[in-house]
Amino acid sequence: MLEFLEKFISNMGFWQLEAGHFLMLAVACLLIYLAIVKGFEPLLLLPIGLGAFLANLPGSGLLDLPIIHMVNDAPIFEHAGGLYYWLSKGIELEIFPPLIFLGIGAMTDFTPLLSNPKTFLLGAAAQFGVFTALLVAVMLGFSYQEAAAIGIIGGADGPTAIYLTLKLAPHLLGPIAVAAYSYMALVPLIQPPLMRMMTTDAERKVVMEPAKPVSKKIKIIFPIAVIGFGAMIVPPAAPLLAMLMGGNLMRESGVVERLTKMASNELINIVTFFLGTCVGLTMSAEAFLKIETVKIILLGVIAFGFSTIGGLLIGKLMYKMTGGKVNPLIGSAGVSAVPMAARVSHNVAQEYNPQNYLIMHAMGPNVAGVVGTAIAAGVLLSIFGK
Amino acid sequence: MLERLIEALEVLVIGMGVIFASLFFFYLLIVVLKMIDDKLAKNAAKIIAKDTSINENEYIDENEITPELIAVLSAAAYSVVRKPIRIKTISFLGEPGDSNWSKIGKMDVIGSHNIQGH
Repeated sequence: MLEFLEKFISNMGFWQLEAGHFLMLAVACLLIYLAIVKGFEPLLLLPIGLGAFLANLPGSGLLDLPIIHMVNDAPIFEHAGGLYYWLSKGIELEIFPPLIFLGIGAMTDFTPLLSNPKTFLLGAAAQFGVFTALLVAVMLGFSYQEAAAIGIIGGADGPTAIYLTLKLAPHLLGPIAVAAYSYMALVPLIQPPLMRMMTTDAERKVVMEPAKPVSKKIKIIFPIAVIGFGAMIVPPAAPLLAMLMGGNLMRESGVVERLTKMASNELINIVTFFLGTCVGLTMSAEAFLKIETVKIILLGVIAFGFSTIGGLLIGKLMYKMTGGKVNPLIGSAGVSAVPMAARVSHNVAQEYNPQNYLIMHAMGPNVAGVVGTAIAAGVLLSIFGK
Repeated sequence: MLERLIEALEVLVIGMGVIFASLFFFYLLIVVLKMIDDKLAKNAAKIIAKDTSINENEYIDENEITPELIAVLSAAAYSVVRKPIRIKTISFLGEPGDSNWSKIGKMDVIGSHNIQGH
């Protein structure tokens, strides 16, 4: 009996715990706390926190490699491998981020953008932070691939950030995903001071004309055009654009309601959970507790800040060129944190004019930002990809 | 270091250039599509207007009691009294030549009755 007890006790994970594990368990608990108590991007931060917690429980075997012997050309499993060893293939094989994009496409209404297509340019301008952060990261000694992966945090698009990081710098996946989702949650804190600093009182009070309706034909042609043109100009972004716009085509066609519901509900929910926990599982103490993580967190602020500034600058230009018909506050919504960034534009505008309902106008650059970030990722993959 | 800075700046210029060019293309595409769509819609509206325009010589009897009129009156009456309705007779209170003022006055009188109570 003592022998069994001794074996049981020696197999416990407690004996393998080190100081790094305790620190990472604290980080995991912080992420879970932020998700539950503060409501910071709970759909992603909660699974990421859970994954990080699991990754730092030694001896759990969740990521164990399978042990396979070949007997007469037939595989015999000596050890099946950990659950998350297999689920992580969804990340390693770059399947989960495009699947999330399918759901996002099925949920996104591009009407505000199509009714006011000049807001495409605001979505483009808000990618400025991506390349500014890349530049600063290069100066800090990161490789071009690492710098590109860090820069994409400025796009404020989680799946795109994960997709690009997997391709260019998979060893930085944990810190980049955490930084991207944390800053997306912090958009209401990061953007308003910059918005107030960059705009005048008169600009913030501009009430924009109501958007015009868009025909169904245009709503259907648009996703097809984006897939066709986008895949031609930046082929590496084709999986993201195809899924995003494929999902939107299903939605706008109105003939595959079941598929649209599947993509925007069950599929995206299941994949979000697995994506989050798999990203969290990359946050082992050895991979996360580095000085690079601190640098990435700081570079994330730069990326977000400059993206906001880029959008606001083009917003101000549009204000001048249209004779004051465009409220430049919608420029900051070009960072693609949907719909948070649009809501922030609306809230700031309402502080100065409670009768100003800017939300639908801000949704235009907001969804343009999603397309812009996917194209930015494609450009970076074309330049730095293998 | 300077070389890396210059290269990073080149990436910035190329990257922002491609993004602006791509999204500007989408902007132009949507503008052109909207123009074509508006034109097609206007043409279609003109054709429909021609097909459905009323012949000036055609006489329309405003007092004709059609099945559609009976259905509408039944539905309206049911929505007020919330009981099964059977319409026995329909009589027009106004004459075809009545002025709008006269019609509105009659509506006010009818509306002043407490239908639920009767």
